[in-house]
Amino acid sequence: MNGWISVRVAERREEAEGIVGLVLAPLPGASLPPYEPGAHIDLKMPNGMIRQYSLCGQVGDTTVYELGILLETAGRGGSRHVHEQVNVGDMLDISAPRNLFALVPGEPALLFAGGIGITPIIAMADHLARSGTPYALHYCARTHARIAFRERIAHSHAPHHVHYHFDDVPQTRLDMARVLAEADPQAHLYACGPAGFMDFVIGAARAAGWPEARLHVEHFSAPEVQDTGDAFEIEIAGTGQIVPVASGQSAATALAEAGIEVPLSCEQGICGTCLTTVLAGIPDHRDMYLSAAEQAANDCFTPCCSRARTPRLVIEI
Amino acid sequence: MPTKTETFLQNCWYCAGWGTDVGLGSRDLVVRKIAGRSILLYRTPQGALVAMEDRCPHRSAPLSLGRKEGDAVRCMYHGMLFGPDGRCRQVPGMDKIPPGADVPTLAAVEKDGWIWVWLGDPATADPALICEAVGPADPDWVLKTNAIRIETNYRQEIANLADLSHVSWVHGETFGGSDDWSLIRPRHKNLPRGIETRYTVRGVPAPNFAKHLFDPAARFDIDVHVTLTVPCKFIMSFRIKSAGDATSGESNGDLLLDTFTSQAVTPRDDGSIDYYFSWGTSKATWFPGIVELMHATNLDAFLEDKRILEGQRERQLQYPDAPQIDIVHDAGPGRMLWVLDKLLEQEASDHVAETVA
Repeated sequence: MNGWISVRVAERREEAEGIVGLVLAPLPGASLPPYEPGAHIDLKMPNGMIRQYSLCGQVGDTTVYELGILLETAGRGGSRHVHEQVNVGDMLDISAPRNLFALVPGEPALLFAGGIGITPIIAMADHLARSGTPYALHYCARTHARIAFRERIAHSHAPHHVHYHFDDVPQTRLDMARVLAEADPQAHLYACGPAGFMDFVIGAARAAGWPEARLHVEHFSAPEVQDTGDAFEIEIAGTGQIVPVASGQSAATALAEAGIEVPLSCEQGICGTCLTTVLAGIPDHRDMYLSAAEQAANDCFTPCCSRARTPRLVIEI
Repeated sequence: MPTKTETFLQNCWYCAGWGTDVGLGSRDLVVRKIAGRSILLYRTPQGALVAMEDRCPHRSAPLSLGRKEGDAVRCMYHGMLFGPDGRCRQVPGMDKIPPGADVPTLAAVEKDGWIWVWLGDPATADPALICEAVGPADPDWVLKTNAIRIETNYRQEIANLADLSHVSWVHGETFGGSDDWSLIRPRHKNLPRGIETRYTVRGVPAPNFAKHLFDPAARFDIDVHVTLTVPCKFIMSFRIKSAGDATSGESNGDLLLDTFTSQAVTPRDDGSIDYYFSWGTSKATWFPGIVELMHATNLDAFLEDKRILEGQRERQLQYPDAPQIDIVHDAGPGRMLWVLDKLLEQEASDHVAETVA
């Protein structure tokens, strides 16, 4: 895929309690690719870990990228590394931006940010404000102290567009039913935040009859494509051929090595090119192509990234 | 800076236009650029089709600037005469024919109203690989034909045809009229040289080009069945029915209009394609004026494609290294381009094997 882009940490600041802001600048003479609001990059840690972070700076600014990184004490160490080790002047490698969370152009927007989920949402809100598209921003946080970008929001957004909801201030509680009922019927809903928050927001919208096409979510770090996982077996229906998939090997790679070719394109579970019928066994779905309901049906999977919950999957080629 | 040159499949049928494009007239020396080669097409006095390289082996003058003489063609630079087998018959002022004075010919077949040429060794040309289509002369159908040229790389045209979600956006003024097309994620079946896709678009309003013909509240189902094969042959049954109540499988509404389109896209070179297409209705569902309306709309719609594809081409050349992300609508394009690349790799390795042997 694409090469890594070397960047220098130009600025490091405390955005809020537990949130570090990094400003990343290209090497002298280089520039950074443009991106759309909602985009994220992969950040490669010096220890080889790769994490996804949303770009939260001013869209259109290709002189620097801005990230907001929450210290996740229960995480696997990526954010801890940034908080403890990364300083101004350090060199980091990042990927080109990718956007799985794009705004639908020109359509009114209801934005919901939970905690660190504000990072893509702030870029989207700024863009909507500048383009004159109707929008409302709902920002949920545990406490006042954990609000990031407070001055930027106050500066760029009229107060009636912005609604803060704090867990420790009950009268600011987010009344989803009312917000949804009062929304423009053409509005699209965008949500980013912790899993529980997303379930709450999206669940409420579905319950209120919002069509899936108007619901857009970003898990606050995009799900990682991992080849790691337990070994399992694939049986080819009809021939009975058994293909072992080793831990650390993708199902598609194992099939190719066994001489069974599956069409591949994005190799990260987004495009659906490799979608393959499953006749028996339960896949461990790791793709972003199938909807939750389609994944639950367990009658197909994306062998480029998905694995198995059962020792064997029987597939149709 | 060297320009990247596209490699094209050789063992493959390319459409060289409609049979009616090549007449019997004295000036009917038709030249088509196909996959980087210029191919001369003409008919012998018996109507047989001849396809040969449009290049005189002497000093490379185009034979299409020449003159038809019986079943032969004369180069109008120095008068060399070539038969339909490509063999040189005469060099004016020279008694003997010098070695190598032949023009390569190509296997050419007429089927379903189209002319097909095989770029590889004529001995290996397999007519079974020509796609199944419905030709304009088919007695069960009322079809009109057309052609356009688009300045794009043919892979982008393949991607366009392998993913019809763009109907909602590119063709909002013609075939589209709602965002329903963009919400469908069809399942594709792999074929040895392409993909086959069936799905039903349910409960949609009339497309914009036909809105005025129906009650605004009328809703329709559309059964779509596409076979897309390399290099880019798009054959589609498109059956319009009154909205039924089936939620899966084919629509159970009443068949209103049974339409069929056959489309063949031929890469001319890296950056342009010729596009030959037909669309129309079955005799059984035809009514006066409908095929003329479809014909005019089809051209309007393909000019909408041309606009977006040529804009895309310009940006892709402008940003050659910029990454392009994938979305859920890329499954069809992903599969088609995967098949194409697999066949190209196969040809490359066969070529290496031949060279080594």
